[in-house]
Amino acid sequence: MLPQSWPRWTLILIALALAGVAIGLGLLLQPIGVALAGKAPTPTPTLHAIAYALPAKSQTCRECHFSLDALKASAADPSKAEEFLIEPESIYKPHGKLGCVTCHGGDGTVSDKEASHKGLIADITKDRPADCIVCHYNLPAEIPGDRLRTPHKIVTDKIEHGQALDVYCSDCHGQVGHGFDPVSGNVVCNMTVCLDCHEQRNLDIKLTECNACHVGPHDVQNLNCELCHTSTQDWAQVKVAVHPMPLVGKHAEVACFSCHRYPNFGGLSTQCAACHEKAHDFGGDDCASCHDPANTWTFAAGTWPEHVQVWDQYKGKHTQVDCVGCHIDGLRAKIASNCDACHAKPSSHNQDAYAGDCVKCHQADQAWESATKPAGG
Amino acid sequence: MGQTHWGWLVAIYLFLGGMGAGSLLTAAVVELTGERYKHAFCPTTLIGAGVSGPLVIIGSLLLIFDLGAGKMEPWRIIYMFTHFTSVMTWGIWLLSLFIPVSLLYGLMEIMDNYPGILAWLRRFLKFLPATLPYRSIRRVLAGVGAVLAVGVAIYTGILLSVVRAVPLWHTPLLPLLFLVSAGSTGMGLTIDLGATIAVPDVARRFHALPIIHIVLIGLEAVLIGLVLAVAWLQGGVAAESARLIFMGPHAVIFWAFVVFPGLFYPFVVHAYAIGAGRHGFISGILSGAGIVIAGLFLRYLIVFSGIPVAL
Repeated sequence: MLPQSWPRWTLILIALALAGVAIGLGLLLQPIGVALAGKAPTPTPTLHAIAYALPAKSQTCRECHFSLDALKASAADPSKAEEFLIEPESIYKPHGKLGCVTCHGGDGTVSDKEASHKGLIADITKDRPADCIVCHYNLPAEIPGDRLRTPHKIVTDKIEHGQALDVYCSDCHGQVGHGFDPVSGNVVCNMTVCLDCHEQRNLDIKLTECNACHVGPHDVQNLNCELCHTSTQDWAQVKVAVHPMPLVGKHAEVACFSCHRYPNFGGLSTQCAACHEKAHDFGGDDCASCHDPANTWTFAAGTWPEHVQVWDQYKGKHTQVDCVGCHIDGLRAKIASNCDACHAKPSSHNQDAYAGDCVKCHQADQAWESATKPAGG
Repeated sequence: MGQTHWGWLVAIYLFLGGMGAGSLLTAAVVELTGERYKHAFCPTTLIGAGVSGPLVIIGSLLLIFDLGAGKMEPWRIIYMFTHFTSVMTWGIWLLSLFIPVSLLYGLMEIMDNYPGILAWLRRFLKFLPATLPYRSIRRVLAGVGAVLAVGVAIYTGILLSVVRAVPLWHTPLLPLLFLVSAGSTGMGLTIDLGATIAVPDVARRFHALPIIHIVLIGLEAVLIGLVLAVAWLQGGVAAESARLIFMGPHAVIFWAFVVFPGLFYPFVVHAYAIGAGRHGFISGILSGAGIVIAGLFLRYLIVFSGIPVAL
């Protein structure tokens, strides 16, 4: 019990001291407990965990590898010293922050070249690839921004099962701690890098089909990219080999995506009215029955035989006149169907016998001269 | 064997962080329920508020020194404040908020017992008023501190449970276990040990105390059992971790330094206290010491028995 003469605040010190005593007891009892347990444990396979957070143990690496002069002074071949120069800013990048020795091994606390390079690893992805997937275990199968498939799973599965690798992280991702970084988008990785590498290593996947890597933005199924895309430099270069409707006239000039909008790339109707607004209220939805897709919208004369249903004189020479020849105010504008709306009465027809509509004597599909003169004419 | 990258420093940090949070939580409960105002002197709030800040500070320093960079470039800790997707950043914010609040709360408790401190402080801090609404300020600090204490206690478990590579740790049960254990060790230190030293009949003061203790002990026992059972049933290295703890090289530590002093003995003492309405001075002290030591070894076992998955 606390003596009456002791101030109350000593309770805080006593409690802190008791916490300290508990820790001291813990440190004392732990080896006793382990010793009492007897037999040493059977070694268990353990993750080759990376010794993270070691920048402080990489001090002497910086002394040489940040300075070309220092490298030249210590290099066996000074002409190659520049190859080992490291950009100082790289230590502020995510991998650089881990410290040199985390990935490259060696000892960054000693200045002697031989001692500091003992156990050095040039490329951790080849010597200890499992270290990479300690952090990068959840790698994407696709890179949505670039519409690319990646073989990450093939590689990580092999690493996890301890199988030999035929491609290493650094093959695509380069020296991630030292500038080249296709992941960030700062460096555009040319497709030939992939093609050449697969070719040189005789890898199973030959990359002869675009679909092996590229994820198309279109909702077309079972079509190879190369059926339409003719260039490996620019996706916009398209030569359509198959198209549901003939791409002639203006249709051959417009860009694919003017009509085919993502994501409904393949869902377009081949009906003209699906894209074009009808300029008139007559005729059906099949514009091509009157208009030639290979030509302009200009009416192909005589291609609307149904016109006779709204005007019985749509025959003869009338069928040879373009629509706008009569409908001069636009196709939607109604015009009078009487003859003198267009034709002037000749002076030889001034007598009363010629009064009235021309069609009493003339038909549009007959020559003017073949008409029978009326009585008194 | 278990992982070897996190050692005693981390185990002690987890212990001190948890016990510091638990101590403040205990003091805050006694404060906010008004229990402290039934007595002229309440050692539980004085100890709980007084030790929580220093314990967490010491624990945090150990954590910094556990990091390689912490020894040579301690200012690098600043980087940890801005990486919001990392649980360590959540933790460092929690600790940074908890420490000043707990220190202030501790100061208010000491000033309540020694009002002369305010007059002394006013010599240097002229803006301080002649009197302070101690009770209101203390209650606000207790409330805020209690919320942060729960965060700190849970965080010590989350720190381990986010490590996917160690199946024993990678379970949501661990933060819960550490929270309960924090409350238990906090009560053990501030009431069973501290308050019993100051007021031997402390068990008579708080009739609900043995019941709360037994509930926490029972909950802790269930959670320890669940963590080990889940690991055992999971197979692989998780089962290997569980085996290390209850029948392997750590078995003596588990049964002799965790189960007996931290669960079995306190359970008997407090069960007796429920029946008798009191417990003895020595049994109270031993119960508190047992709970505290078991809290340390529980964290030791969890940290040292975590076997990483084999690749």
